[in-house]
Amino acid sequence: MSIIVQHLTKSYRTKINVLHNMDLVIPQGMFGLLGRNGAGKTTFMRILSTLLAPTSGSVEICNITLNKKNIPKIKALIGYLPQEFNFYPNLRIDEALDYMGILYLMDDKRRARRIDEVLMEVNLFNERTKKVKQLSGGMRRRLGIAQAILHEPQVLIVDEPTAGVDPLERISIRNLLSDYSKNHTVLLSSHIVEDIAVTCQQVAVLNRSEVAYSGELKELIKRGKGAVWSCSLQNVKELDEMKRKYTVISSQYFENSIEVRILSRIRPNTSSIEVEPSIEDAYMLLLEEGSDRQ
Amino acid sequence: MRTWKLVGFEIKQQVKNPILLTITAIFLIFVYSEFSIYLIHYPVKNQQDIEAISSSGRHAYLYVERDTSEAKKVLQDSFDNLSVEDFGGNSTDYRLVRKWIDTEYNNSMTMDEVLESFTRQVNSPRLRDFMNKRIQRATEKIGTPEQINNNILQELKGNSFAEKISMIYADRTQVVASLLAIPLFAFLFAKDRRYQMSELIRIKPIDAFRYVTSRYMGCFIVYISMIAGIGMILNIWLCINLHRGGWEIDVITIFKDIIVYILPSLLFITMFIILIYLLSSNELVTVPICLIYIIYNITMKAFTGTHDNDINWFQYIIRNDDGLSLPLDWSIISHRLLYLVLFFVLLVLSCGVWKTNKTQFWNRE
Repeated sequence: MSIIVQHLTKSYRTKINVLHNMDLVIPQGMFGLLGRNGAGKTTFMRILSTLLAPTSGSVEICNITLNKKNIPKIKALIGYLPQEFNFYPNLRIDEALDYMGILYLMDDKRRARRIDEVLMEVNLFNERTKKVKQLSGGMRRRLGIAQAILHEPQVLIVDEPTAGVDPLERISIRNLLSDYSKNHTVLLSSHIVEDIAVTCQQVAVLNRSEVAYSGELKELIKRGKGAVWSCSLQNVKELDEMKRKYTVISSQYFENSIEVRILSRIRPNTSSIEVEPSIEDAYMLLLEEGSDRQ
Repeated sequence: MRTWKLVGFEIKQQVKNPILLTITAIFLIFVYSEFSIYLIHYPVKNQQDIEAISSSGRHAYLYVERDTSEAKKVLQDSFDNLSVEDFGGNSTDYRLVRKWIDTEYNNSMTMDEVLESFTRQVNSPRLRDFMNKRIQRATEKIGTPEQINNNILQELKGNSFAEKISMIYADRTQVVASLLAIPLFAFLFAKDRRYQMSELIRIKPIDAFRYVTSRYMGCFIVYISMIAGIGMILNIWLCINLHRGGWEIDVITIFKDIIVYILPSLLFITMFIILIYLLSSNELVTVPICLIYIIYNITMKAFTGTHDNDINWFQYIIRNDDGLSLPLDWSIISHRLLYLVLFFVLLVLSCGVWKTNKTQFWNRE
């Protein structure tokens, strides 16, 4: 159930490379995709979901090569939840899923059974007669996930599924995706590093159209070892001075001091203490070092 | 079978669609305003019916000829009561006519002799028209209900009145239903973009032909059912009245006229609207283009200066203002077949455009 990407490039008539020479292997399970805005995450996901054609390179999804001839086969294998989506507002939840099921070419019996099942899974069963326009943002996201898994795809591609939802909904959505990844491949892109951290074992980081890192999450975090410092500053002037020289990840104001967390390969000052890196630290360090190289 | 599932789904959505409900209301108002006179006042039963028909315009069948002596008397009376007001205050015209009456006219003249003498003496086309109308008014009068009904039946030349109304319905409906179809079909695929559903739909394995055709058929079935349903109700109502009046009824012709005239016209124009939308991806562009095209088809005279023919290969609408019975000959059949073929061509083109259309939802790229 893996996705194998080789030398994938996507560019437009303006000659700008949105994706450049990507090599990636996405195994079964939960795979995280991190990157800045404009790094190419959504473009990559659209290519995998057959909405866009690559300029060059190859993609293989569950041993099926992505090409024009195989598009119908691949569409049957994947479920996709785009970053921005909606449904016809006057449809009821069950009607919306029924519509999606018809478009998936599911037969009546299977469609009816799966609608009940996914509504239970996404915790919308009791709201099935509500209209889409009556749903909150989180419920709409869950409905989006429901339509993506309705036909039991082997690969689920979700683009920023927790954007704009409250913490409780985020946890609910994360758990849904995590449960689905037990026997399937789930590719999850997010700006919210914590969502990746708690659900994914493997991640890829896209930076300026290229894969800056691909591998296990713990290895990414290890890269941050020796580069994350905590120190206490006296005043804002010192803080400004620190910001000029180093990357300040966070700053917390106390009565008599400012506690800061800094990224640096060298000790910032004598009072700095090395701390264990988090995924966010490692991610920021990777992006920073990638920018420096360029 | 799965295609019919999508058709069925679309039908359910269209039945609740506020645009369609509004169009239905407008169409009902149009049908009532256009046909109520036929439903309520035909066959003619009493003076009330006569007055209602008369107020809707001049209809030759309302009039019967007076006998010669009565006509002469009426003409004489009209000349005796002539005043300047009859000429819109134009005293010159009044004096001219007055002079002719006083010097030339006598009431032993026949109507033709009156007109000939007047034309000889008064060299004015405008006044000739005036005299013509006076003579017409003198020579005919509003008939009794029996006389009027006889006139109507004679005018039909053996065809039934229901046939005539059915033909008028087919004529008017092609025009009005084409115009009303614009918002319904222009927005059919626009809502995928408006409600950000395009990506969710395109990721599904359903192919372009099945998707476009099914959505279209679902919408069209509801639309044509509404139009055909109203037509049939109109026909049944009319036939009940005709039967009560002892006139021949015809419940079949309406089906023929819907299938021959209305159906191919609406199939063609609705698919045209959809293709224009899919090409432009913009409702604001689609509406005026379709409006201009439909107006061209309603009356080519507005664009080319040539007179309307009943059947014109460049117009999808077959006009028949008077409801005269058109023989279902090869010219009509081939015209209808042509537009059915064009409908399929537009359908295939629309599916192709939908399939390759990247602008609809890749606006962010």
